[in-house]
Amino acid sequence: LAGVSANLPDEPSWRVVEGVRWRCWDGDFVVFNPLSGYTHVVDIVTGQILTLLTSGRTTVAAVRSDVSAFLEVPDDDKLADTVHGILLRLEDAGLVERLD
Amino acid sequence: MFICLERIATWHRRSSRRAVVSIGEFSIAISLEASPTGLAGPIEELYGDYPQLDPDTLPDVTVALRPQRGGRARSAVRAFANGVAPYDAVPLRWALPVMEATINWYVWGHVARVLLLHAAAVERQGRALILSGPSGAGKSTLCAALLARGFRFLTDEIAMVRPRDGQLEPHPRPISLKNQAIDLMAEMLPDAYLSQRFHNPARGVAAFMRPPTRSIAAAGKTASPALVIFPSYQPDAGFELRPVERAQAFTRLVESSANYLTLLETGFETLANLVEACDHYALNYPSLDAAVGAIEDLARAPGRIRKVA
Repeated sequence: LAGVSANLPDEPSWRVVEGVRWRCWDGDFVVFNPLSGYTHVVDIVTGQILTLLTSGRTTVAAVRSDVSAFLEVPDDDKLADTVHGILLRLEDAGLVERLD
Repeated sequence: MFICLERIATWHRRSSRRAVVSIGEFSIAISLEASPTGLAGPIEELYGDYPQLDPDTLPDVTVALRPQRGGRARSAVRAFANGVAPYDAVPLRWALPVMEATINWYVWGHVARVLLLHAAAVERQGRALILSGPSGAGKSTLCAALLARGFRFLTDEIAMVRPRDGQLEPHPRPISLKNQAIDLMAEMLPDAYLSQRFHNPARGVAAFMRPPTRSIAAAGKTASPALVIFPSYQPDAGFELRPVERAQAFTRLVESSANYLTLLETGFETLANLVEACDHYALNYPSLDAAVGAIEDLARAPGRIRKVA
């Protein structure tokens, strides 16, 4: 994931693409994209980010803070890279979108 | 009791026969066009217990068996579903298997009002048990064995899940049995009607069993999905029953569905609701007795095994 964060602005906002829906079972998230028709199974951290972004426009800093608290790990560069990597993968899958 | 493939006079075929049978929410018109002697009897036997509708009823599908013209005209037949023939012509003695395969082909590719899963299903006390797995996993044999223990038969090949309320609509068509399962079921269900046997050098022997009369009579009564089993017949392995996580069950059921993708949000919601409503288990079984016993235990005590080791 090294270098991923360099592709993103410092403070972009993100949100879940309209119509995306999911279920969470035992820490696994099954996510449906109505535009592509694809169903994705994602881990609990990715699901946590999706859940947070459902509330609407959310900054990367807010996502990092939420994931930091969720995983009980420091909000450092390593976490920033992880969060950015997840956001990019979600964007590639058409599940979230950048607003800035 | 027999259905009657009525002789109907048409302008182009004077000896056609047709019957419309009701199978729960589904109806099939069976049409034998210029039918050769001997074709109607086995079909009438196999579908003998199904309610027969007026021959003029507009069915979900019309399956027509037509003799082939040309070199082997007198001994070959081809099956059409609403005018389309998915398979080549076959010798007359294979009319029944190709008719059943053609009906399956039609349902699998054309029915969109329900979520379709490649699965067998039975019911007890209103709770449906779904047996999901690829061909050869032992679904039909296990299903038939459960019928012998008093479960109600819902379907052998195609489970229909209703999006509106998640109910399983029975589709109790004839049960397709293969190889050793034929003799086994003849022994376990001695009163059940079994068709003639069809020998295929590549696939072995196949036969069709008419579902129990009470299951056919109750075809309009839906059941609530409660248990999903992923069976795998492994004669040389040990018995194993283990819970399956819901996300894994979901993906396995997606793979078994004919129309999950085309139903889009409806497919996702219907399947997700089914997964949430059910307990899920993988069952590897070397013997039928062990498998049936385990399933009966689960059916009696749902949720008894919860943790994945």
